[in-house]
Amino acid sequence: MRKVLRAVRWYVRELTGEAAYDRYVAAHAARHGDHPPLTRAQWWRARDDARERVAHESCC
Amino acid sequence: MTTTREPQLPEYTPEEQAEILRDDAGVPVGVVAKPRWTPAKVALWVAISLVGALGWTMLAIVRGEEVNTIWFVVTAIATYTIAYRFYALYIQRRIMRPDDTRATPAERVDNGRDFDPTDRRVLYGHHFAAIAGAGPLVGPVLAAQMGYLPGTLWIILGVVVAGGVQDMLVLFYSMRRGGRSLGQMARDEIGRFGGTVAIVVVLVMLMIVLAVLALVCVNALAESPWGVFSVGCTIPIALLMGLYLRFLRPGRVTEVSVIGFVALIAAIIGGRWVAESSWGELFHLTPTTLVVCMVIYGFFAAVLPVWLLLTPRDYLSTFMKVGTIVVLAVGIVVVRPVAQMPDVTEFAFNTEGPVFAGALFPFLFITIACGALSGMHAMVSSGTTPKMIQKESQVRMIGYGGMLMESFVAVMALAAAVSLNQGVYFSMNMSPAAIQSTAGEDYSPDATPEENAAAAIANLNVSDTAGNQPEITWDTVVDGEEVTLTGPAALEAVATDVGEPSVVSRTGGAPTLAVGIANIMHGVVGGKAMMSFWYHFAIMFEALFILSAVDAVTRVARFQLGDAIGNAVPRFRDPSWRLGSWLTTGVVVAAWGSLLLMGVTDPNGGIRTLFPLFGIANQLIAACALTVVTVMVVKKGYLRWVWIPLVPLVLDTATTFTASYQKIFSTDLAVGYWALHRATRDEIATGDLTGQALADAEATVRNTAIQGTLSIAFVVLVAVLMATALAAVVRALRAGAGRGAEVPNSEDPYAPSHLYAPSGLGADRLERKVEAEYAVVGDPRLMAGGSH
Repeated sequence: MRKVLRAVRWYVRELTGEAAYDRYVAAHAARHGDHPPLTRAQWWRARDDARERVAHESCC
Repeated sequence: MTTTREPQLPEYTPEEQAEILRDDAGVPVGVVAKPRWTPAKVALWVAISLVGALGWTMLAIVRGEEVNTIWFVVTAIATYTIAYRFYALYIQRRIMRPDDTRATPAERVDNGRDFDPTDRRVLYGHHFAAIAGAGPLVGPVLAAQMGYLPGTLWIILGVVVAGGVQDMLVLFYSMRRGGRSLGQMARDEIGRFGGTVAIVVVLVMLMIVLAVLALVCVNALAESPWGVFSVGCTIPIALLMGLYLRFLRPGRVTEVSVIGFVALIAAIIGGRWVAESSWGELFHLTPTTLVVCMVIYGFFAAVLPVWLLLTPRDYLSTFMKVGTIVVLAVGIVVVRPVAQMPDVTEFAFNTEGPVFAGALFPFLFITIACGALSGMHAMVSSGTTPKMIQKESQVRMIGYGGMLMESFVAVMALAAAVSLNQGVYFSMNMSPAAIQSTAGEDYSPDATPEENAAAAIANLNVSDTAGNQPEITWDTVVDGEEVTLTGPAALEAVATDVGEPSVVSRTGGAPTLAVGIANIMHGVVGGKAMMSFWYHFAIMFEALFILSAVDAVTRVARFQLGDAIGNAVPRFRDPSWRLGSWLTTGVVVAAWGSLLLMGVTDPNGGIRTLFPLFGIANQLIAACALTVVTVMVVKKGYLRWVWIPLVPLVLDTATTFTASYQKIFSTDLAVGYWALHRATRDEIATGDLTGQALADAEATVRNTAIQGTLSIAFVVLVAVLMATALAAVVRALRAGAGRGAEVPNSEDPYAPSHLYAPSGLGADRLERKVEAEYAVVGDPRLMAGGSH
């Protein structure tokens, strides 16, 4: 039961993109351990700004 | 991350070892399993085939008076499973030939933004959410006028040979080209001229697609205070979600989505109270007012920062998408409604259909559109998705598998529509003009719409399942007693049950589907009292789909227009130039807004006149995509299997070109735009028309001219693209394609992969072992999902 809940939580966090920041922090630590990563707020703001310039596809 | 335990490497048998692909450093990057047919597997596939055969027999051969819609679901799933396992795999082996030692663009570029290697199960969700929209829901509902069988056949078989093939091949070839768009691929592979034509075609067709989707939404909300209130609430809800994510709790997407979803449900429930209160009149909007609202909304949604409106709205609509599809599937399985529509109706063979005019060939294919084959998917498959794929071998599951799910949604929409009483279905889907002409002498301007609709149904040239004239009936509860009402009273009871002022002439498919869903769901949860909630739940979800398509496509079109004008005035290319983006957005909004206004005010019913144009546009984009794919298959030298994209291309060309031909040249006033144009002009010339009749006739002349011109432009542009593609094929054949010569194409050069991930939805035993090994020996930066 707990395993199922964990899987659901993982899937939802990945699908919504919520987990992206955690992955950024992990990747940052692996690559540039010498300086601190962006805070959550800074990182999401940068991501929003990047999205502003990308056309988002959707469908009928 | 450090572990104190000595990591355990799995042990492989020599046969297993031989199936594992490894990079230079010996790290596993893929598995090429040889098919092993165990008795258990053979038994399983025999069983699936038998279930499928039984389903097809029940649907297509037995066709009794009472066909249960559960057979639609069973047949669809069995057919999809077989197609995915055998046909899609065959295509993969013959003309895709994925190579897991090769890095995908996501692994190569990995910039943490658009190029981002994403877990295949998550990407499946993303891809499905991006391709699924209102199209697969609305098309099958309209096509139900021909009976349940033609629609079911085409939705299930079409996805197998056409839709899935297109989505998967475009996705694969775009992935091999750094995730380039369809237009860019056309330019690279066919030539500059052909590529430009493809880009223009797509841009113009997007406008008609948006206009028709918006028309569906307007028809669902017009004169419905409850619907306007609850759908209108999504805007402040999305704004609040955006502000919450930006300033209060950045990045807490799940949390804010749950809050938004709860607020959405509250808006649906509260809508009834608002509609019944003295404020109700405030939300009682005419179609024309709604058009103005949509246009203003579309403009601001495209120019406002995406974090404020677009992104939070996407979260809401994804939630609703998954939620409603699950609800509908559960409803059909639990309630197992019986189809009320005959297998094939008279409207499959004549052009008298009141929902849309035109015989089965080609208009069934044009009308169903997205659920079986959708050109718009080629834009997603050559847009965001190819930049996120981890491994080449995952394309089958995401491209073909994603389309199978879309088709399944269409099958369920069809099931919901055909389980409605036929009289109710036609009353809802006939425009006022169609009701008046069908009712003929029985029409009375003083009668209620329900009475006139009942008169029209009595005259409609169609039979029910027993071969008699259909009767309007509706089961409802009056004073605590279950009664079956007939005629006008039945239509009034439907309206009361779903909480609407009236259900007559609610064309566009969305209200019909919502009544269908409510009709099924009230049997699962809540009974009659909950029926109006389910109706508005379904309307909300369709409107959300459409509104998110409206703002997303307006943005895409604005970027494309800016790029195009940028060739002359370079400053337009800069998306941060405020005035430029306002101007281009204004042009885009004006383009679809004027088409929308034309549809809403069309005296012959906007859906009836414009929906064929929408279907033709969508299917022609698919023809463009399949043409580009065919050129790429030829250039790769896979001549023996070029029939794989050619079969759907020929089918699609036959339907779209015949439909265009009929729309342009048919002398049947119900079908041909120009025939109606000339006839109406002659009528005006006689001078007999006055007042409203004259105004209507003038509108018809104007609208048919625009619609006729658009149909000519679409088909000519696509024919030009096909001619240039044919020239490219001839050039490639002369250069020796298919005789072993390497013909240059725009595929990216080989780059070695260092990443491992399983290819299917689940992982088999060997794949799990390799995953365990990769977790120990793999590149930790890639495993972290690779941001930065």
